[in-house]
Amino acid sequence: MNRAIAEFTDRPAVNPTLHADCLSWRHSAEQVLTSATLRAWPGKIVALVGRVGSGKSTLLKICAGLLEPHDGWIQLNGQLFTQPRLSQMAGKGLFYLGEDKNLVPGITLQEHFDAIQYRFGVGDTDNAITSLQLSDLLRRAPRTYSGGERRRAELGLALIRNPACLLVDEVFRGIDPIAVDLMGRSLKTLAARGCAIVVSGHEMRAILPIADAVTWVTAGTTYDLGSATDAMANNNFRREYLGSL
Amino acid sequence: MRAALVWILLHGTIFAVSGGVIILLAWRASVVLAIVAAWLGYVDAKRRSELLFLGNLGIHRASVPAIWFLVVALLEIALWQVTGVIAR
Repeated sequence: MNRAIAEFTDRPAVNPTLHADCLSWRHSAEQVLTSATLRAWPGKIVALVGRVGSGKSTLLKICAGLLEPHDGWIQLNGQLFTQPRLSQMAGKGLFYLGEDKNLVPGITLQEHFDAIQYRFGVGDTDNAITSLQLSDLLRRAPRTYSGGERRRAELGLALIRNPACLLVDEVFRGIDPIAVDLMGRSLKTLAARGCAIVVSGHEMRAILPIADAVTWVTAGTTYDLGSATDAMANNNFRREYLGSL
Repeated sequence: MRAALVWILLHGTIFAVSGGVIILLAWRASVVLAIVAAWLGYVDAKRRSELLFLGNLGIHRASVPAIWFLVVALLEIALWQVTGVIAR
């Protein structure tokens, strides 16, 4: 992995907003992560990729404070956490979008937006509604949404929260190409405001074009592969994950 | 709000079924009732998928059962006070 080391030293001398290191986690007898690292820089989108069951979601959940690591530490905006909680991390500027259950099914999207604005006193609601085409969804409860509508609405929450760091698990799963385009542009907009973003997923044709850096999760650890172009050129990554893509 | 509703339904049902008897619990039983309510509140919040959104709002998941506990405990105290005044 000399390539990965060389690329890491090429990174700009900006402190990462999120820096998690030496993370390990096991489920029963299965060691899911042995020593994983995740960094997210302000204004950049990091694609967290790897095969099904490699530990991507676990790594994101640990960084969000939803799972307690057996070892390792997480630094968010310079503050160190060894046993983080989502509520703590959210207070420090992190926003986590999991695969599901990000919206409360029984209240409208407008009420979600109001709650975020009331709690954090931030948010350009009009911009989020326009850029993600959410106007038709505002007065409806999320239980009536399709998969694509739900994902757009969830990203709308993040746009209004305007977090320092956004973690999105399975960002483009099960959504149509137009929604992928809208969401990709919204993620870029959020990054342009200085947000450090990590997205995971398998939709490489959608994820790689918006990614500034790629982190590969495999065999319980992570490798920084550099830019999307560099990742595509990495033989190990191609052989073990991308295949003929 | 939901905690208060559950508490009112519980006491209302007892009142209706027993033909107008208001049950005043001993303080230990009231604490047990508040603990059961706290557990119910947590289960209900989880069932309604509220915990992740609350977490993203910076609200600890323990806040939900804590609020249910407090609401039920306060309502029990209020019931003692009100029935005490009526009895006098």
